[in-house]
Amino acid sequence: MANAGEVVRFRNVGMRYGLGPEVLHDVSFALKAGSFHFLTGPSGAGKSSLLKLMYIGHHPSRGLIHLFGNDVTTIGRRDLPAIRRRIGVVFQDFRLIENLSAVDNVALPLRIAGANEGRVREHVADLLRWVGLEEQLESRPSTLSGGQQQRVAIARAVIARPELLLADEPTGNVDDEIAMRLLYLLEELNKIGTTVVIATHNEALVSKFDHPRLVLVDGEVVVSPAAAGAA
Amino acid sequence: MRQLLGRLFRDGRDVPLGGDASSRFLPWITGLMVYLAVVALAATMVLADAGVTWRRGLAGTLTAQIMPDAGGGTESLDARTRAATALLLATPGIARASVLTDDQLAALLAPWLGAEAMASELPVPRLIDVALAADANVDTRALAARLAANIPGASLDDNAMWLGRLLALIGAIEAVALIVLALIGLSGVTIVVFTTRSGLAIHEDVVAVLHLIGARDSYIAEQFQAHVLRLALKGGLAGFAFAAATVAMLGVMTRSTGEFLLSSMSLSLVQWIVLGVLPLIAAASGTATARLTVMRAIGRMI
Repeated sequence: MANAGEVVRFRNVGMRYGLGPEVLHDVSFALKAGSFHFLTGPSGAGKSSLLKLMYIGHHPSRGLIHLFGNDVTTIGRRDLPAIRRRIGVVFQDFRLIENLSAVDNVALPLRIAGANEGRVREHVADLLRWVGLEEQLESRPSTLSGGQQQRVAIARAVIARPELLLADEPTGNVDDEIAMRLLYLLEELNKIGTTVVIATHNEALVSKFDHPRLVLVDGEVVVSPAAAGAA
Repeated sequence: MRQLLGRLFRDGRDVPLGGDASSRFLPWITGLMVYLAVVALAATMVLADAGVTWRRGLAGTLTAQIMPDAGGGTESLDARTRAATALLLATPGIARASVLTDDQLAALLAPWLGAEAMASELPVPRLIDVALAADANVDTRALAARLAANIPGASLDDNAMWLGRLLALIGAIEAVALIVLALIGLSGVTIVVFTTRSGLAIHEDVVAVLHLIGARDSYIAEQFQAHVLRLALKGGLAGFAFAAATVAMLGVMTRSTGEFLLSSMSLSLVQWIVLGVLPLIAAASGTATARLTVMRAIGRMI
């Protein structure tokens, strides 16, 4: 059972792909509402797998996962969309839909939620301008650079003001200036109550922020406090 | 309602189904199937109409036939025909007995023997068209026996046997046409199932993203529905147009050459409306099939 004020709680969670070995084992941690965490660890440690469990993209092989107080390991399929709409995800490979323009990709979460079409385009265009893509509103993903695609992916993840934002290497394809700008955007979201988890192996970037870490080592999670002296 | 229609016709807005090779042939296949279905159903309607016409035309009628006497000449045939007519008219329950004129006989024989049949040396029997009075209960077997006994070379046909065989044949053809219609429908459903599954397999990644963003299964299914609806309507309406032209053309041909067999191959307005519903049924069943297929398949996804 999750405690009040917790957005995420993992208890003795294990995860495997198919019949392979466990990539995560005995993972237990909790994230309070409004917290900001970096998820760090060496390549292959299981950061993406842990995020996958958090956005309900994979079932755990064992253990309990609570999101917003709901046990998602036993919840019915019918109730999953409502929980997923409270989560914004920035995928490592962006996962933009190729036949949709930047605007339409970003608008997806709003349209799926049944938002008013007039306001959808207005909000989306504003956000894309804010991330520096005012010239690419109608561009298809294949015509955008890696960094531009990443910004579209981030805009899609935050457009519906999710309660939980999960980002897998969100600054991997952008220069330092854009990376800082994007992280400030995520911090702004965090200030208005969004719980943020950013998976990254960019130590230089992480050290500039005063946020605690979830460190993945050998398939287990260790929560470490904020780095002292961060900017 | 407007929103529902908008969502229904929003063709693969998120899932790019338009470029799939698997669905490229769906309009053609739907068109062909609707064409076959419309022609089969129209043929069934025409045959059913013909059966009704024949049954109605022959109900309460008998045909007496006087064979020409090779040795007796025309006088003998005329005398026997008059005697037969008199015998028939004297029978209770018979309202009318009229001898077919040479022109009427020529018109009957023309489709089989040509326009000159009556002028040739062919021995042509005399026919007497007999009409029974309404609610008359005539023992046709006894009448036939009396006619044969009193008038040499005379026989009586109550039309029941050949009409029965003809109606049985029409029934069999109608049954086959309905089976063909059912098979066409089944094939259509099967094709939509495979096309939809193929689309799901091709766009599995997009479907997964939509799910992770919070889309309900019905939202994803609507995209496939809209896609199939659009293609099926496109193909179905084209197929109907070609089938309607075919049926109309056959109607014209029947009127000019084969009216003696199928008195009228033209369809009524109601029948055209029924045929016009076929492409809509094809589109609706394709849409429903797509929805069920998608809902069932993605129900197994996380």
